[in-house]
Amino acid sequence: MSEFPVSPLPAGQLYTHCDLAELPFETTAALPDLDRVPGQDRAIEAIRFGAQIRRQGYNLFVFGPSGTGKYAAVMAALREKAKSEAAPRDWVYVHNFQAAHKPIAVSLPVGQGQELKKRLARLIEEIRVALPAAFESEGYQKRRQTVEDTFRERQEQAFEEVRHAAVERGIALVRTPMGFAFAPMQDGEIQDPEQFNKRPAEERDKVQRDIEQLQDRLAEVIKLIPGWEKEHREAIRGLNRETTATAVSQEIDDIRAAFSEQPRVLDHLEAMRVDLVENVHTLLGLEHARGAQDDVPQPPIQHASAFNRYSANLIVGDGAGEGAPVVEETNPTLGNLIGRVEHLQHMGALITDFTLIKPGALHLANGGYLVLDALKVLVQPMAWDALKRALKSRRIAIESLGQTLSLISTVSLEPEPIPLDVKVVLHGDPMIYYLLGYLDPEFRDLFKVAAEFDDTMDRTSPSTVEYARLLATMARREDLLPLDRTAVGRVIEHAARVSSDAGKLTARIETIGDVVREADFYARKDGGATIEVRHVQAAIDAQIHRADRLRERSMEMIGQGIVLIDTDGAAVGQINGLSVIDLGGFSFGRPTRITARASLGSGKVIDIEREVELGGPIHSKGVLILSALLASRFGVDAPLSLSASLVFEQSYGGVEGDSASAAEYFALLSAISEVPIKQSLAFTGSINQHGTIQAIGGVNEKIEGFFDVCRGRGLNGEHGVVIPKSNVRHLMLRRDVVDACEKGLFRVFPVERAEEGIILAMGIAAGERGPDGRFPEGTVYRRTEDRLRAFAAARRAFGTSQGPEAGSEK
Amino acid sequence: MSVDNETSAFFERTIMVLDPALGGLAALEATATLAEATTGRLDVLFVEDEDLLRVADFPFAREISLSGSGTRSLDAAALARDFQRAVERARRAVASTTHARRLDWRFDIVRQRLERAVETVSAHGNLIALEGLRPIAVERIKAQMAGPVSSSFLLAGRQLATSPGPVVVCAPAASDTAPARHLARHIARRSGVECIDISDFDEFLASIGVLTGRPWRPGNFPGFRPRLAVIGRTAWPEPGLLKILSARANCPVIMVGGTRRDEP
Repeated sequence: MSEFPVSPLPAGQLYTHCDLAELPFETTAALPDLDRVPGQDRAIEAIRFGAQIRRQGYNLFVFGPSGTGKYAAVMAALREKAKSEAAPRDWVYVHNFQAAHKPIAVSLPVGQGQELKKRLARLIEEIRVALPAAFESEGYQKRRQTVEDTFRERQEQAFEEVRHAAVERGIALVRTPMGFAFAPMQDGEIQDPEQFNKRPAEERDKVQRDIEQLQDRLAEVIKLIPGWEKEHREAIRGLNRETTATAVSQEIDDIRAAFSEQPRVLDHLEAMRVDLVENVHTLLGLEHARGAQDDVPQPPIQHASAFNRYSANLIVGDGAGEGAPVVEETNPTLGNLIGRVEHLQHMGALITDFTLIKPGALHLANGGYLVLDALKVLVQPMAWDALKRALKSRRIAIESLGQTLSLISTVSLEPEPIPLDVKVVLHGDPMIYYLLGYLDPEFRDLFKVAAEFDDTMDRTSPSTVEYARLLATMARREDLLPLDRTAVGRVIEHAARVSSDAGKLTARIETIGDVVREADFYARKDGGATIEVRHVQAAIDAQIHRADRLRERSMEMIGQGIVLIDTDGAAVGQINGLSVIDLGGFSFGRPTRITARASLGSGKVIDIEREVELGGPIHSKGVLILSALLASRFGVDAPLSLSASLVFEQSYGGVEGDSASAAEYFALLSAISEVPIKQSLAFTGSINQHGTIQAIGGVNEKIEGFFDVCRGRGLNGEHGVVIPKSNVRHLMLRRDVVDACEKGLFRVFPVERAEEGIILAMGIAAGERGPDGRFPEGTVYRRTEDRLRAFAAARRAFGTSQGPEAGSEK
Repeated sequence: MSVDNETSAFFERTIMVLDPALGGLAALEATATLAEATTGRLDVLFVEDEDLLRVADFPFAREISLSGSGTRSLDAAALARDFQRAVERARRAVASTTHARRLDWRFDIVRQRLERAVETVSAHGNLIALEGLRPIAVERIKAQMAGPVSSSFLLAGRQLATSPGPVVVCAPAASDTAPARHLARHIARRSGVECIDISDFDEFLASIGVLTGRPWRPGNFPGFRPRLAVIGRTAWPEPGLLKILSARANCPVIMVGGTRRDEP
C-alpha cells in the first residue's frame, strides 16, 4: 500500500445548497397546490390498491415514521374513493317478539331506517291514544257487557234452576262463606232444626234425599263453572283482540304499504300486530285494574316502557353522509369498536332492551372504511381480538367484555349479528407492523396490503419543485404567509439536513411544517408580507435553542474540564471519539475520550464497556471486529501476547453502535506502538475486518459537536474531524462550521482505509509489509509489531522460567 | 275528617251490609265514594247470618264448595271460623279503602238473620249498599221497598268514578223530586260534572245502558256513560226490574227513598 496525504474536504462538499435556479418563482403564492403527499408514491399506490380491491383480508396497514403524512394521505385517498361509492344500507334493531333477548337486525335502503323509526314512534303515540279510546268506547263496552251478561246469566240461570228446584221441594239454597248449602224451609224461611226434627221420619228422609239430589245437581253445575269462566275469558280475549286489531290495523297497514319491498319489516309488523293483540291487557294496565280487586297491593305497570318494544333503534343511517362512510375511531375500546348494550338502573337492578344497543365504529363504517391507530387498538383490552373476529367472520356480533371473558353469566341481550363489509385501515409505526407479522399468525391473512411511508425522498430538481409546491399548499391551507424563493431554498436545505443526507429530503412533513409555521410567526412579527430566509433561519435556530439545554450543559462540562476532552497536543492510547445524543426531536454530537491500554497477555482485547454490561451488542461486535483485524495484521506468524483494554472514559449511561470502532482501533494501535495520537482531531467511523472505514450515522451532529468544543477553546487550523468517505454525501453542516472550514480553521477529512486514519491520527504512516514480510522501520505498524514481538518473547521467557502454567493462559 | 253541613244533611248513615260471602266488597269503592260525598263516614255492618248457623245444625248439612273442590260437612265450629276469616278480610279491605280517602269508618259485627239486619238499618234515613247480598235477603228488601221507606239504596255493581260522565237523575213527580235532585246535584257539583235531569224513565234507562236502541236526547252520542244514576222515589222500578237494573246499568244507581231533608 502506498502512503498518501489525506486532503480535507473543500467547503463546497460540506453543505449542498439549494440551487435557486431550480425554483422559478418569486413566492410560493405563484405555485399551484400539490394534491398528493410528495415522495410517497409507492405508499399511495398501495393505499389505492387496498381501497379498491374488494376481497376478504385485503385490509390495509399503513406504516412509517410519524409526521410523514400517513393519516392525511390515507384519509384523502379513502374520502376520494368513498365519494364515488354508494352509501351503505341503514340498519335498525327491533324487538324480537319470539325471543326478547335476541333483538332482530333489519337492513333497509338508505334513508328508510330513519323513516321506519319515525313511523314506529308515531304508531306508538297513536296506539297509546287509540287503544284506550277503543276500549272505552260505547261499542266495546256494550259488547263486553253482553259477553259478561251472557256469562253471568248462564251462571245465574244454572243456579236459579237449582234454587227453583229446591224451592219447589221446600228447600232453600243458602250462600255460605265458601260455597252453598241446602236447608229445609218453612214459611219462606229456613226451618228451625228442632222443628225439623219433629217432622215425621219419612218427611225428614225425603228432605234429606232431596237435599242430596240437589247437592249432586249443584255440584254438577259448579263443575261447569270453570269451563264457563274459561269461555268467558276467551270471549273477552277475543273481543279485546278484535278491538285491538281494529284499533291498530290502519296504522300498521300504512307502514306495511310504505315498506312493502322489505320482507323483514313486513314480518316484524305482523309479529307486532300479534303481540299488540295478545298483550293489550298489559299495555292498557287492565291486568293491574283486575289485580286491584285483591287485597294485596299491586306494583304499578310501566305502560310507557311497555310500548317501547314497538319502536325501532336506528343503528346506522342518520342520513347525513353521501357516499361510503369513512370513519375514524380515535378511542377504539371494545365497546366503541363493535358496539355495546347499555343498561338503565331501575330500583337497584340493571335493565336493558334493544333500544339501548349502541353502534360501534364497525357499524358506522360498514360498507365503507374504518381508520384506526394500530397501537390504540392493541392496548385496549380485547379490542384487537374483537376486530379480527369481526373481519374473519364478516359480521359484527356485539359482546361485552364480561361476556367475552365469560365473567358474567346473567341473561343479557344477544343482538343479531350484522353482516360486515368494511375495509379497515390501520396506521402505526413500522415496529408494530413487523411485530404483528411476527407474533400474530392471523395478521398477514387479515391485513394483506401494506403501505409503507418512507421517511425521505430523493433530492432532485423535480422533487425540489414538488417540495416547493408542498410548502405553497401548506401556506395556503394553514393561512401562512407565502415563502419567497430563498426561504423555500433554506427550508429545502433544512429538509436535507433533517434527513441526514444531502441527497435526500425528509418526508416528515410535520417537522418541516413546524419550521414554516414558526417562520411565519417571525415574519408576521417583522410585519413582512412573505416569509424570508432569515425568518426560516430564525425558526430553525429557535427550535435548536429551545431543545439545546442538554447540549449546552454537556459543552459546559467539557469547557470546565469536568468531562476530559483534549483538543491540543498528542497522547498515547487516547483518542477523541464522537457520539450522538438523540433527544427525540433533537440530537447533538459530543466528543468522548476513548482510551486503550496494552500489556503482556494472551491476545485478548477487553472491552470494558461490555464487561460491565454498559456496552450494547453492536458496540461489542465492533470491538470483536477490530480485535480480529489486529490479529490478522500482527498475529500471522506468532500469537498475540498482549492484553489490551478499551474504554469510553466518563461514560456512565451505556454505549451502543460501532461508529467508534475505527477510533478504538487507532487508540489500540497507539497503546501498543506507543505512538501518540493528535488530540486536535476527532474520529468517527466503523471498521471492518479488512481495515475499511464504513459509514456511520449522525455525521453532521458529530462534526458539529467537536467543532463546538474546539471553537470554545479557540480554533487554530489544527482541529478537524475524520469521517468515513462514504459519509461525505450526508454532509449538511451548519453555516459556522462551513465558514470555519472555508477559512482553514477547521477541517473534515474523509477516509476510506484505516491506514489513512492512522497517518492523520499519528502523523506517521501505517506501513505496508515489504518483500521480507516486515513493515518498514518507523511506521506505526512496524512499531506495533515490534512491541508485540517483544510481548511474545517476554511471555516465552516468563513461561520457561516459571514452568508450565496450569492456569488460564494454557 | 270534618263533615260539612251540606254533606251530612242527606243521610243519617251510609251503611254497607256484608254477609259472610262478602259479595258486597265489589261495591266497596263506589260505596266509599258516595259516603265521602254524602255522610262523610262509612259504616260497615257485617252480619253473622243466623240462618247459616241454623243450617249447620242440620245433621245432613253439607257445603258445596264454589271452588269446585267438592263438598264438606257443615258444622257450627267450622262456620264460625269461616265467619272470622271473612270478618278479617272485610276489615282489611275497608280499612285500606277508607284510609286512601281519609274517610272515617266503623265496622260492626252482628249475629242476626240477614233479612232482619237489613230491615233494621233500612228503617232510618240511611243509604244502604245492597250489592252482593244473598238473593233471599234482597227479595225481602224488594218487598219492603214496595211500601213507604225512608232509606235509600245503592246498587253499585259498577265502580264509581271510572267515567267522567254526568250524574243523571230521574225524579218525575214534582212533589217528590227534591231529595233525589238535591242529592244528584250535590254529587255532580262535588265531582265537577254536569247533572242531567231526565223525566222519562225509559229515556233514563237508555242513558244508563239498560235499554238499548231507544232514542235518548242528551246522551245520544257515542261513548256516553254517566258517572252515577239517581232515581227518585216516584220512579222506583218494579221489583222485577231491580235485578235487571242492578245487572245492566253501566254506572252505580241510587234509589232515593228519602233523605233527612224530607224531615221538617
